[in-house]
Amino acid sequence: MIIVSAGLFKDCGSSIVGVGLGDTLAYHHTYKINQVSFSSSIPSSYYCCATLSKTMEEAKQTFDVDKAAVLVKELRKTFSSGKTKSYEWRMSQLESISKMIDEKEKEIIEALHKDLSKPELEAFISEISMTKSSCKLALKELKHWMMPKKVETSMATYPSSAKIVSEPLGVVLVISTWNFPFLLSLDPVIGAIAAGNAVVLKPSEIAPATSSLLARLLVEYADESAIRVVEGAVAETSALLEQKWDKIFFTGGARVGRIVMTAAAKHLTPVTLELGGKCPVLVDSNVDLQVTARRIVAGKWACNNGQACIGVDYIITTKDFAPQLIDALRSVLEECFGKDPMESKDRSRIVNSFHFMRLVNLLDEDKVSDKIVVGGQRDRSHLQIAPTILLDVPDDSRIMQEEIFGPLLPITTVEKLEDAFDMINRKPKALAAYLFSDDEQIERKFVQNVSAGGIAINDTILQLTVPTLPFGGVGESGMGSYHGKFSFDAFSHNKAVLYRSFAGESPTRYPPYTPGKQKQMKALISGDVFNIMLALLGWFKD
Amino acid sequence: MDKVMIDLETDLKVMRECCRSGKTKELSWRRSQLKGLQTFLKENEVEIFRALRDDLGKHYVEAFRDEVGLIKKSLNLALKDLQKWMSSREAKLPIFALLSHAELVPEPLGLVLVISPWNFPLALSLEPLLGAIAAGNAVVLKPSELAPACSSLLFNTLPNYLDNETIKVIEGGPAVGEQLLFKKWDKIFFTGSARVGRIVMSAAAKHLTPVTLELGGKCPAVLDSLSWSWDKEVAVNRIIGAKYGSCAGQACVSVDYLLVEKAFSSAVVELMKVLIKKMYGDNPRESQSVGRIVNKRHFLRLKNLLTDKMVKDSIVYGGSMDEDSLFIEPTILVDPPRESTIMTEEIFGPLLPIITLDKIEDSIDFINARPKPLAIYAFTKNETFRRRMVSQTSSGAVVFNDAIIQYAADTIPFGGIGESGIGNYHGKFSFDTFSHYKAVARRSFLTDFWFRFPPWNNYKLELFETAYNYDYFGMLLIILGLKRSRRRFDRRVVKSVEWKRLENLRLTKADDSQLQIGINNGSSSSKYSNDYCLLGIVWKGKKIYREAMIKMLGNLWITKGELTAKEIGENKYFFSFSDKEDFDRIKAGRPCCFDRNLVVLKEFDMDSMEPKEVNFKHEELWIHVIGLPIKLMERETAKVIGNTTDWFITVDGDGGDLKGKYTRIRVLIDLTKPLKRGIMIHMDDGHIKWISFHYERLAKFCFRCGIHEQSCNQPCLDENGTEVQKQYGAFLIASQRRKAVEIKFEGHGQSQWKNSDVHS
Repeated sequence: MIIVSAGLFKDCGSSIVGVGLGDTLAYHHTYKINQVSFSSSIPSSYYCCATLSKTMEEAKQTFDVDKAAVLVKELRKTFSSGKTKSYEWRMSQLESISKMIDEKEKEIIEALHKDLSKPELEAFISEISMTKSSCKLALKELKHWMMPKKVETSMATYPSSAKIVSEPLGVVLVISTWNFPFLLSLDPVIGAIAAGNAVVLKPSEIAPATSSLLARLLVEYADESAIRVVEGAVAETSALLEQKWDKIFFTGGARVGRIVMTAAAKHLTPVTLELGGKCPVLVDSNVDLQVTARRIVAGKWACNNGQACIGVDYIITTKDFAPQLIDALRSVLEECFGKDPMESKDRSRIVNSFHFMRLVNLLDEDKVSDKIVVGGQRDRSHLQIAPTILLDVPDDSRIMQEEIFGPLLPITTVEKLEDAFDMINRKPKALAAYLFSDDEQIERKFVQNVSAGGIAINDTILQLTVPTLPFGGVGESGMGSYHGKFSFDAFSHNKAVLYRSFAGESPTRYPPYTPGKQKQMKALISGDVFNIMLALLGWFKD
Repeated sequence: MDKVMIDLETDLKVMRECCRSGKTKELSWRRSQLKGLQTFLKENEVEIFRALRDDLGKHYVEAFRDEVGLIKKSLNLALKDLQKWMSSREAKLPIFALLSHAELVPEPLGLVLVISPWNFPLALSLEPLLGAIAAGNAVVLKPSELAPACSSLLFNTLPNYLDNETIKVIEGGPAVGEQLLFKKWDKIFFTGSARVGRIVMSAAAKHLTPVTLELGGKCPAVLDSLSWSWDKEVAVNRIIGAKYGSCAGQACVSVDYLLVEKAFSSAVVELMKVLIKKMYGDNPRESQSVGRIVNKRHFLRLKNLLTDKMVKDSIVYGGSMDEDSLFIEPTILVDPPRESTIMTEEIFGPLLPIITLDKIEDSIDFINARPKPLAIYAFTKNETFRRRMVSQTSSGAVVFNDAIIQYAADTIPFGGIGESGIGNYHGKFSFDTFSHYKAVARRSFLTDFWFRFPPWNNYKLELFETAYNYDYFGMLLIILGLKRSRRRFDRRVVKSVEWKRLENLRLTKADDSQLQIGINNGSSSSKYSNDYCLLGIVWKGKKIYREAMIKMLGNLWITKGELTAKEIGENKYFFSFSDKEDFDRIKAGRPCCFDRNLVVLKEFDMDSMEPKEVNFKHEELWIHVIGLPIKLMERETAKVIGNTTDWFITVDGDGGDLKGKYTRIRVLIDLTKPLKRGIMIHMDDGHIKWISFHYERLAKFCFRCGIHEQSCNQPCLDENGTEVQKQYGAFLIASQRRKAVEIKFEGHGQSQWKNSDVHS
């Protein structure tokens, strides 16, 4: 089957534009037809949110393993020169990136618009200003972060002093994704630079405009000897993964996450995996309906049109309350996106026709298609699907099993809200879980019983914007976390440094071993100064 | 074996259920399990000592020092601090999350696997186990089969003290280990070699399981030339203790090799010989103080390290071995070949190669040329060298003037980097290793910032920007409407992209960059009618975004008839209107601004005029004349005042209409001259009054000399050639008067201007 997307090219009349899984908008002048086999029998894991998609042809494979090896070697040389470790270098790079964001704001917004039709204000809020603030925070706090942390030492090592020194890991690889192509590329890079590493960034080929923009801008603004961008798809990524890195930071789907971690294991490279998951929203019946609906809409459709790893995936609410909630959502949707949401410019589009088809397939499944209560319209040429709400979709349908990653919102109902906890816990752990409730009891239970990367009560997405909270998953939704100081830590090694003097030597430690020495040691380990005195005098009783 | 595995399968299911029930999360459960471990150690001390002696020949004092005692210490700490560790930590929040609250809640990971090695079979089993318990996990412990006595002790005795539903000990060799790795865990904690570490991590990747790998590495000791004999003796004592004293060097943290300066080396060797004798006596084999090699395989491995002739020749002390009792004498080698196996592989036995260097500072390069070790031990009093050692090398830990002792410190993390491992533990770090810090943010329904939701506009943008910058005061000003939006971009930016794309397409078909903006498409076929034409120039030095401007004007003007725009020069445009009404309306609606740049529009007669002839130096503007006494608010006065500028055109209103806050006059202004800020009027009664002028829709102009931006040649100099001080300001901009804008926004449905007010 050939997926044909005419889109903006309707006027051309004559040209048919084939869309491969990877190359979305990169065909302005070169029209090519790719054959894409596409069937619904593809295993579900294939549909993970932000994958390194399979490109059909590897015609001009310019970046291979050898090139990657050379690249890593160069960066390693820079790193071992110690240049990246200096405070000045880190500051200058961060300042430069901050400047870049300020100066190239327009271009960034254009690129995001090209890739995802992201409304500029949304692009500004969720990508540019988030990146900027994370850069600013790093600039402000770097000195503080880099400071060795003095810690107390116990009796066991007396007399001594100790500190924990943050040291850069070395040469790190950041693989980012397409849904927030700017933020999710630069945010980890900022962390890596702040921590004093040499970085290679591999932006997603599914957001080609942002990818090439990043490649261009970082050359211009960053120190090329230590910060590089490699553009490309599967082949390039594989070549990169072959190399030995000191850390791999990956954002994307769980399937590729596994590949990354397996590759990392070969070199014992630590990984941070930022994956996705089905983030549930639990809505109690005692909530402020208007506010709840707005916040859900903000966390679903105003957040890259549902294509966000921490976006709302599905709602669980009580049976009686569902109709009210749907009404509220409907009116808020109208408020936000107008009477005809397909016309609204305030939503991003679906990234490419592969994902568009995936979503349409989710919607068209037998048991699902008749559950639509709001929306359901789709426009293939503009890769748009209207905000769609489904009620009481069967739990075994694909839409309830896979991460949706699009503007579809199923609502599941339960008799009692407490039943929902179990329902959530039976699914793989999500990156985020949300609760709307005015009942403190429920709230406490929710925090205690539901396991997820992060939790927001009475709001969505909020936890992401707080630099004092770590952002990261658990279980299927990833490992490791970042943001703010946590980004710095993710790319640092906490080296323990212990200072001892030559004084305070006790023969207890050395052979020949005697029972007396054991007693002294016991006293030492008990940590009680009095006992130690007794032991030294030979009076300590076990 | 199969049966064991089937049992395991059901066991694991039960364990997972227990986890889900929340039993392990309880503080009481964790406490009771930790207490259980304490009792286990207390009641089985003798058995433990015996097992350690059987497996590794450890002296009971050594066993207490390295294993039992350390675990006891860790248990004490865990029990003391558990509640503190478990409590959630508050996090600070930014302003737009007003009335919110955020915290970090530690939660157990679930079901974890601990794989421990044979060299400290008890300590390295129980240390992670107690961390996992403290963090509230269900644990499966697999002790090493190479220390069988300890393994069976743990398997048989430990369960009596612990909750068997959630904590299991599984005995077995590599086959069992492999089976275990196939299962899904929420964390795998592995202590052992790098080779197996890789296998563990690959297996973990399948289930996306996080791992902590505690591996080894060649830990160097660096001995600076110490001048005081006391220091020398202490340092050498500590090196000997760390090499031969801990399980006969079979420890991941023990000293692997020693770096000294050439001139100092013989003194060190002599001192070592003396001190080794002092500790282990003349016949170390008879002393109970040296541990045994764990098994034959490792014994042979160590023996093989010495078979190389070059290596053998470098032995200066010891070297005797006894295969039956698996004993190897404390051995010192001086400068074995650096590429020999003993210098490339982790030694893990009582052989100590001493490498001599010209300068002790060379040790940094020597260390950096090899994989990152778990620890570096530097014996030096040289402060600069210490600092360099910390900043220029990379390792799990750096210890000055001592060795191994970092293992006993709870306040610093214990773990490797690179080849020496991933992750760390000990003390609170153990708890963290087995916990997931869940970010929890709470909000109330009370406050809700409307600017978080679409439809988007610039106002919301501004609010976000200030909020993210923590500019609370600025935010307040914006909310109160006291601060104007500084931001300039809006839909135009993106519109221009679409536009460009469209234009590119057309370019491929037609070779003409003419753009048609047909709004009320009646007959789009016609060329521009020459009846009503305007010529416009954007009063700006730099080239502007053509597409954006044309599109913007199209949106702004909303013509009834057809509007055609064509670029005829840099920043110069030609507009033609099919409808006279449109034409007049636009003409009257001047001045027109784009991005705060004045667009000067001039009537243009296609038949008789050449674009070059058109003079763009003048433009019509509305001025608010402020401060006139009511009595003087008359047409005549307005005219007199208006003529003090270039040319008076008209005055807004008539008769009584004129009397208001100000008089609004339309005048022609020379754009190359400074703006007039006002005028003095001599009143009848003799005194003088200042009348100020405010300009409507004033474009960017120079605050120094008051000339429109393009005409102002910076720097602004006066007649004497000195730079002019700031004389003008935003106060010259009149507040917007809706009445003056004759363009109606509603009714045509084409305008996308609803949210935007930046074009004033």
